[in-house]
Amino acid sequence: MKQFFSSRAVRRFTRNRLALVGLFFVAAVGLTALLADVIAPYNPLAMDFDALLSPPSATHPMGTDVLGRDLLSRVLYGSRYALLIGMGVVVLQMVLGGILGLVAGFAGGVVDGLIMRAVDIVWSIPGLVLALALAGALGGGIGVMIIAIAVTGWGQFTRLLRGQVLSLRELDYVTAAYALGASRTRILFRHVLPNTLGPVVVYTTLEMPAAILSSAALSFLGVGAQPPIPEWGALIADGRGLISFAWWVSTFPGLAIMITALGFNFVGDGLRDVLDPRFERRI
Amino acid sequence: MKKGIVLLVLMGLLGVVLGATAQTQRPMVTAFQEEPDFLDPHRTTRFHSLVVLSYVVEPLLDMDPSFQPVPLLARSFEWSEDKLTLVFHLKQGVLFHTGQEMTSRDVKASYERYFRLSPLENYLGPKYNGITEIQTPDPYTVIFKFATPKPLALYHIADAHASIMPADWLATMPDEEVGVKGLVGTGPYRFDRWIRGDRIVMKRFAAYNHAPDYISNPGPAHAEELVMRIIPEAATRLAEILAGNIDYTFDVPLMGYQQLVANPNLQVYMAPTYSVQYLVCNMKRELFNDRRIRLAIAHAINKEEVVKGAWFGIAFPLYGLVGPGTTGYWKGVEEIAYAYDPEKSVAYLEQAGWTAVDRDGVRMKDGKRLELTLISFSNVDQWRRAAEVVQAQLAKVGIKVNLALAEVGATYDRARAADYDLGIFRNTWWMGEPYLTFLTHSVNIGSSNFGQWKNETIDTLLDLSSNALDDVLRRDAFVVAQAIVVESAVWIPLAVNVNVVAARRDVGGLDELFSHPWQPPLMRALVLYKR
Amino acid sequence: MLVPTLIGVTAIVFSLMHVSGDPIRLLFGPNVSEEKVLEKRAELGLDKPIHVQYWNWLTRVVQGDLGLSIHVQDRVATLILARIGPTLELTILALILTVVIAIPIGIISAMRPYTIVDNVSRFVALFWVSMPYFWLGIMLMMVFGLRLRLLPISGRGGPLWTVDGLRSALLPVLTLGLPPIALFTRLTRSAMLEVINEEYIRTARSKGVHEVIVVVRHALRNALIPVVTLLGLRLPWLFGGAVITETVFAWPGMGRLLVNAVMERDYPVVQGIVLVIALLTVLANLVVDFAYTLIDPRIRYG
Repeated sequence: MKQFFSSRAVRRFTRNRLALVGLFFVAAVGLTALLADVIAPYNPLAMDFDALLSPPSATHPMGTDVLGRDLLSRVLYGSRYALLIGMGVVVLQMVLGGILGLVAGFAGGVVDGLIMRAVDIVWSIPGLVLALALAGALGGGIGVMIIAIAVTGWGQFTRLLRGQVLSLRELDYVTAAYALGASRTRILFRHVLPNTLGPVVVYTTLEMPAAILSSAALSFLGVGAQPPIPEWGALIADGRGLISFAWWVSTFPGLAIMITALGFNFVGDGLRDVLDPRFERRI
Repeated sequence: MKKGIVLLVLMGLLGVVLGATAQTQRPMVTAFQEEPDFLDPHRTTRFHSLVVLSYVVEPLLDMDPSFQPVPLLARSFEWSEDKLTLVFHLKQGVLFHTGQEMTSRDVKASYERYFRLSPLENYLGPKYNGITEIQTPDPYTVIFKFATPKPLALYHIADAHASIMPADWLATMPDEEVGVKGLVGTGPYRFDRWIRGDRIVMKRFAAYNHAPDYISNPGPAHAEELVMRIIPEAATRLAEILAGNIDYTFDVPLMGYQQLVANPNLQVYMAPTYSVQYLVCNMKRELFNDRRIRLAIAHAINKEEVVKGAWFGIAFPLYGLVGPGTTGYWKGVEEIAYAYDPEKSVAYLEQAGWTAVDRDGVRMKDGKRLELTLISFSNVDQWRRAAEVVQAQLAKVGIKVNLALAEVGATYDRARAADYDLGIFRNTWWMGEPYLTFLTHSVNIGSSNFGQWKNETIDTLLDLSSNALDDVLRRDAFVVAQAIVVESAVWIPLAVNVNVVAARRDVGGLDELFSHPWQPPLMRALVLYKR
Repeated sequence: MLVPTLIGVTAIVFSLMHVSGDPIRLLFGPNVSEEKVLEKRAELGLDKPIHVQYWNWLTRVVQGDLGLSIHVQDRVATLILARIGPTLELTILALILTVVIAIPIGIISAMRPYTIVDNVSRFVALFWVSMPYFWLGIMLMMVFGLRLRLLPISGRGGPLWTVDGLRSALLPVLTLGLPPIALFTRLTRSAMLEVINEEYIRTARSKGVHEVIVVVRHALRNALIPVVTLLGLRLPWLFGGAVITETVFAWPGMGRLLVNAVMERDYPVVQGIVLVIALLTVLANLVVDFAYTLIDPRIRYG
């Protein structure tokens, strides 16, 4: 916690221009998601059969899609689903993977072996394929998509937290705490969690855009969000065939997803410099 | 290590600069969206497999542009008085790709295999009291003995599923290797190689010379080599067509239609197909037993908008469940189809008691919202958008529709379990009678009757239209069946697909090809040429 | 340790595929009667309980028989053998491309942290990972294939050592190789930063050894270790990218075979491919675990 708010860390973060730009992007996307129904000029579901695929103009700044729906409004509303997917996936992964990692790290022995074997197993199935099979088994929709993406990626949190626990366990002060009879819970909250917070924050920030992009990949393969939800991945996938003449249909959602992903990646990259404890020790 | 990598990259760049190698004679290149599963006419159930294998193998008869069975491998045929014996006289000198002559022995072996293996065969075979015996008195005569008269037999015999392959070759091949390891027939092209996921290559069969009369070129085919590329992604296929790398294709991404038409290097042809899409109400849901609800839905659907929104306007509104490119089509359905009339729709709903409207604009009755689940396939853009359009149209009259689009397998499973309120489905068959039987006969509840509805009148009429010996009765029964299906409003026809062909300017023969209502593969193989 | 993992992987996938539903109706389409569907299901043994089916599959695999594809009726081993080459072509070239671009960028970033050079490098690295694979692929195809007509739009032109083969591989390789650059740049950069401040590097510097030589001879060698470690770990992930890339570029690889098989519920094919990938990955992971203990000797197992 301390290092997170220390003025030195903040200074280091703000020294990174790219991270600041990223923060701005992320804030913009967040605001858009909050205010979508206020700022969107049209109902994102309203079709206009007299204005199918109209190019960007004063009335439709981003043009309209194949069913005559205002693309700007759809992109604006889409930010909600992007953040929902990103956060949903990250939270699920963190809870599932994190707990398993802590258990593995503390328990050791057979339990550790079993959990790490499970990580290996999931890790050796290509994520997209696992997600595809899951989506097939559970049916489509955003909820299933979030679960499917989360299930493929929790392993890295497990590895991370287990690694942290293992390496901290070897540190002198933790060994000392053990020797002094401190309980596991106490060690967990006093020593392990504060020290893992940095890497976890970095991981989650970097996992958000990855999850959003995975949802786009699933949409491309036909198991994305249910229409007419204006999820960005689905918008890009829907418009991809039109790109050589109605470029706007997939380009604007594409830019939106890029800005969001770049934003999170910039911030995550910046945070990494500041919060990665190994890094901290060296400089 | 690093030097080696740099060297490799430089070599790569050099390769690019050198450019493509010059080629002497380019083969005829065509593109398919989907890869065939296997090319065994007797076992496949896939339409695109049937198209590809029809270049290689042929049935005894073919269908001419007026839907009449005409000789292909057979020279002529005659029925006995009691319609229980059908005699085929085979053409002499027709060669298989192996060089052997095609004889009655091959016909017998092929038909026996067809009856034994085909999952689609449900009319001609011994199990259905059709052909119980095949006699081969001499090499050029085949006699089919029927247990009961089968008035549609000739159509089924003209179906490519009943194609003829050499008896000797079949004897050497295990069933599951036919059409996988190889395929031998009498067709204008012989199967050369199949690079899975990439292409199927065929070579011209120089000895081919027995095309039916309606095709101007008796054979052999013009192009020496035929390359069928498999390009699943629509954007990619469109780019390849625009770049002129595809000589002709029937799998044209519809969204690119305007752009293709505007391209001076391409020619674009279109014609309606026999592939129809329809909306269906699941009659196992109590709600739909009230006919007024079905009528309300039928009147709320604007087919023109569906065509415009889902098919980029490159399709036709469909009025009956049998499409205009299908045998037995009755034009009268256009008169009796329910027209788009939202006011009527609202009136029906109110009569049925759905008078209240909640703040989302959804109709209510006894505290329940009028909310329906619609299933369809998620993997084809057109169906997904059709579902979206239908959803928006029904919302206008106060019916809330939740979409549950999933990949093909999941949707079929759900359809079979009758776990839906509405569905958008498609079916493809050029023979009207068996086709409407698939869709609406009660024996097909649980497979292709997605209305899940048993209507004895429809069953009787369809049985008559398939089995009555009197031609007029058969035809009339089929007309009435079409009318009743439309009036039931259980099935609400939406649109009929259009076959669009995009071809390079230097491809000839398209005018002749499009003189035939469904541009059969055999004709594609024989009339198209490169200038 | 290898065998339980492989059994776990295949058992999970097997059950998932079965939950997703029945392949026969999908194979036959709607117009085939229920009776024939049941017949076929019995013929393939799909009517047996799932654990029996899995056991049957397993015993056959142990005897070296991956079975017959339900959908395309060919031997699974034949299908995989035909498709694995093109996929390995793409993935290996893409890995090389990634490393060749990422490591220099990472080094430059590490040499001048927080300068404009660093920022530009980071931007270049992060740019590619911030858009969907298929989008990047289609964009590359539109620009280099359709507009500029420099490279083939899609398809595999032939073996890699031919000009056509190499030309047709370039765009898919870029699509597959550009996005992971960010990851490897990041890794190289931080690894370099760590190493640069080590005692022996400072010593080398103070002895007046030229900066470039310091970087290449001493720092880079050490920084490469985590990069190589990551290479092994990323194998299945790269394979996921190959699925998309192969679809966009109509590349006849194993990724597309796998996606189609999943969609067609062609269990034997899915199982076979997953087994092959899992085998490769598990082997890579063993190496990685070993390398992990080498890098940080304080970590031990148990």
